[in-house]
Amino acid sequence: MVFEIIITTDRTMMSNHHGKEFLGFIATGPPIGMSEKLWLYICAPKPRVDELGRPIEAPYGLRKIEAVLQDAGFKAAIIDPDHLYKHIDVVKVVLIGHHDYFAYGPPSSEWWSLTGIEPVNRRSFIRFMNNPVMRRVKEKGAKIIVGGPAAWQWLYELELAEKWGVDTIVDGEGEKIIIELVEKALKGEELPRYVYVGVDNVPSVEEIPVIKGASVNGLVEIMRGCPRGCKFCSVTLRPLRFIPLEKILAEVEVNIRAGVKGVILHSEDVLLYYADGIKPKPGPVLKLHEEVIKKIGEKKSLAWAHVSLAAIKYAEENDKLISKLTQELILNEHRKLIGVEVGIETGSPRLAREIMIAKSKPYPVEIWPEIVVDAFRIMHENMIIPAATVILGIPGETSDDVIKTIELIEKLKPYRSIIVPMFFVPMGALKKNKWFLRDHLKPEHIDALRVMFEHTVYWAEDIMKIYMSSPLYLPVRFLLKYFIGYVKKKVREYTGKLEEIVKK
Amino acid sequence: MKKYKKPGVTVLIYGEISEKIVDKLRGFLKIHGPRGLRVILVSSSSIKALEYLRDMLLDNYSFTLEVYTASSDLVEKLYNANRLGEVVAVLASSSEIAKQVPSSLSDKVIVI
Repeated sequence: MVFEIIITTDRTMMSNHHGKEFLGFIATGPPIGMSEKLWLYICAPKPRVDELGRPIEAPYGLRKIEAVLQDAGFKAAIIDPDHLYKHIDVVKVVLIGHHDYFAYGPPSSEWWSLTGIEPVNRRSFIRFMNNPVMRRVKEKGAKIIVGGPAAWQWLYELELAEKWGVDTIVDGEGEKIIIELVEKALKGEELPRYVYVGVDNVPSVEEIPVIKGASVNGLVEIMRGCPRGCKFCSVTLRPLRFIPLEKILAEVEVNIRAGVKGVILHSEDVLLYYADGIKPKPGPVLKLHEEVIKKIGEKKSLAWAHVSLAAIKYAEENDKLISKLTQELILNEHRKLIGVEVGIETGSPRLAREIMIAKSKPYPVEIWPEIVVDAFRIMHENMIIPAATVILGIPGETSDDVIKTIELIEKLKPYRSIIVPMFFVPMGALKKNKWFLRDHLKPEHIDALRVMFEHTVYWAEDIMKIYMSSPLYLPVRFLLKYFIGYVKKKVREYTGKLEEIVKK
Repeated sequence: MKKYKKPGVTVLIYGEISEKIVDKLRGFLKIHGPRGLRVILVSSSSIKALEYLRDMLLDNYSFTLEVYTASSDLVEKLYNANRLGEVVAVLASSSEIAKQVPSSLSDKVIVI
């Protein structure tokens, strides 16, 4: 069996990251301190595949596209990049998705701009597109359509799009448009060069399909969109949709059948599942977790993709929801922690008012730092380990704003967490290899970077011990430990460089 | 699943894209965006033509927007086959270039 329509991506995406989603983020860094091969071994081992090259676990977004195409009767499948050659003679359309094609997204662009070295994900994707098999597929006349959350990055790499023969760039939710595009491609009709999928073309809840094969680390979507309206985030502009419990459970079932060892509940804010505006409702959140845990049993892991800090505080203070979820439902001797991404973004209420006025709701934005500290304390007490982001260099940011951020991060020291900086990076600067920091960096930014680094290193080993407690992870833990040691040594060199730049 | 709703409105661009053309296009997107907008860059076959439109494309978070590159002949064929929806304007970068516009569309030409 071979496929006319192939859905694929590069190795940094097509991997289950040793079953540890967080390790996947390591691909966003430049390969310093060890070879790129070892780097890829840590973050992107090859997945198990069947005889046709179909991976057992594949990125969730690709699974959705695969499901709509198969439901529409197309011969489509996700194929691992190393197995494309098996379909070279019949493939007519290649669909490619990615979270960060060219490393212009966070945190890749931060590591790139700080070190001046191209991140692993960018290198890997460029290698994938230059691969002789991909070139042969194109020579044989296949259409290439690219999409996913990082589709916008192609608008900064049009020369490469031209060189590789990319036919169409699709930005936005792909379920409906992909059928139209694939039909056109198969009929040999003119394809658009670019499509933005507007709100009138996003799928309704009923139209979002159930995935047919397992997703990487059991990721399952529970909502789309976000009601908070932060200025730096595009998700917020999508219509808010709650995925019904039966669909979620059907996808969990798909993953269990494939032998995936856990579930990641994906939402911009897991606690807002069927919420009353921005106030979490305990009923639907508890029911969701009860039912998912019934399915996965005691041994499989459970993580949340994202949660908002205000929701954590509100849910615990009003309904003890966090304690109930963790102590009564989730945590046990096999599930010792819950991993999640959270956004601090700033410690300055003034700046928070400017860029994310609803992120603190239902609390007033003036107490944003207090919300952050309270939420971190609640998470620490309940073994929820956040990977938090802080944005530096937002237009209009003052030195005082950065100082407030530093003060906030210092207050978070007692709480087990990882804190990652994100810079507002002008895309063109990275592409042209310009040292953008020269124009944007303030001395306070260097202090902020140092404080975040110290915080993360302080907790890193402790987190690694819990996160990767199985002896199976010893080699990865060893490499990560070595890397942390290396970075500790190097950080003085980098901050020294940055200080020189600021002085100039 | 309901079918993808194709853009109902088309703007054709002949010749070089200038800031003025992009401004005009932004205006059309504001007015006609809710019906979906199709932009066809005539005579340019390169995906690189998108470079001029990048900022406008990235500023749009609401409306369905399709951008094509196509030859003048193909445009005429599609127009005659009623496959372009309502063509609201043909933007041309000079009156010389405007001469390439098919006669059936000549009343829509705006030279910028």
